[in-house]
Amino acid sequence: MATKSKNILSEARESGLARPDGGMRVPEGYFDNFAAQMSALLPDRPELQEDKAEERPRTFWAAVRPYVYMAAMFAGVWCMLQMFHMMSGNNDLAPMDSNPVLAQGLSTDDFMYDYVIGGVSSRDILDDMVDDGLTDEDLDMNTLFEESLYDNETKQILPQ
Amino acid sequence: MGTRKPIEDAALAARLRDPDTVRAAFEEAIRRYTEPLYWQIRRLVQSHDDANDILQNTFMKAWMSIENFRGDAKLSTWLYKIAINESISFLDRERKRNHMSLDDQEAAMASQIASAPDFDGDELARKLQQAITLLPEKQRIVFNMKYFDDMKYEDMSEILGTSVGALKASYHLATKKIEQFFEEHD
Repeated sequence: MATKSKNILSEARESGLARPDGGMRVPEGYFDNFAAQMSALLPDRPELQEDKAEERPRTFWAAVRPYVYMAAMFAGVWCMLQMFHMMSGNNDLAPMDSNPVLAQGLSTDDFMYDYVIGGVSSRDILDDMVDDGLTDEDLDMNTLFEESLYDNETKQILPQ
Repeated sequence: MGTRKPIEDAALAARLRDPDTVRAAFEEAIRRYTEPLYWQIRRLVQSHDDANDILQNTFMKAWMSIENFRGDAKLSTWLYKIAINESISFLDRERKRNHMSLDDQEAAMASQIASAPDFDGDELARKLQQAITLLPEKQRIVFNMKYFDDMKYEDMSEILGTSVGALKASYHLATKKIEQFFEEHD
């Protein structure tokens, strides 16, 4: 057998080996039997028919659905416009000072001391500033410390 | 694959999409593609029994997902894809089950061919199959499709999801390796 390396594939082709079976064999009648056996093995798929049946009738909802979606979209746009309108200040809501409850609360200093100033210490404010990126290089920490220990009434440094 | 008339495939694909004719059309697809798919699988796994099992799985998977076949790809392309994926999965499973490396598996298959009884007795055919078995998986698939089925590179590209240029390069490398095998085993 001439198996000259460069021509080996050409030689195989000329020998008739370049065909799908490539020289391999199958049992007699295999392909005929396989097709019949395979067809018998296939399970029924009634859902394929059901899918088709479901497609046929066009329900009322299917008919009106695009219009409902469009209406919902316009409603959403209207709500957004209303929200922007309110945020811009041109709204019909009562201003804070005409709200009788708020007006009464804001009219006395006690409210401010009890609920606003009293609840916030200078340490809280410093903590917030540090959280926001403030470093000791930005501030003269000694000055701040002295100020916090300074009693405005007695004009003296408070004992530590 | 290339021998089938496109118009026949298109008509069959249309019947596969119609629930009233899908089963009969699929049975026709089985008759039409059993042989080309079988040889494609057999050349990859070598054993007739394994090829038979994989072919059954291929048609079963195709049937169970027939609603996913929309006809925008050729029926043959779709079936070949499933068959090759099933073959590669089978080889992976076998390799893991036997705790073998890819090289070990290829060498074991090549030695099986040497003593396999279901060859036509042609020593050249046997040796050629051994050489093909030792090729890397992708090159083996490409070589088989081109050399034995004379498949167009464009069709192979659709099935394997690889560019035509890369397929040509793979085929060229495969032929070089086969020639080298014959040189070494002459």
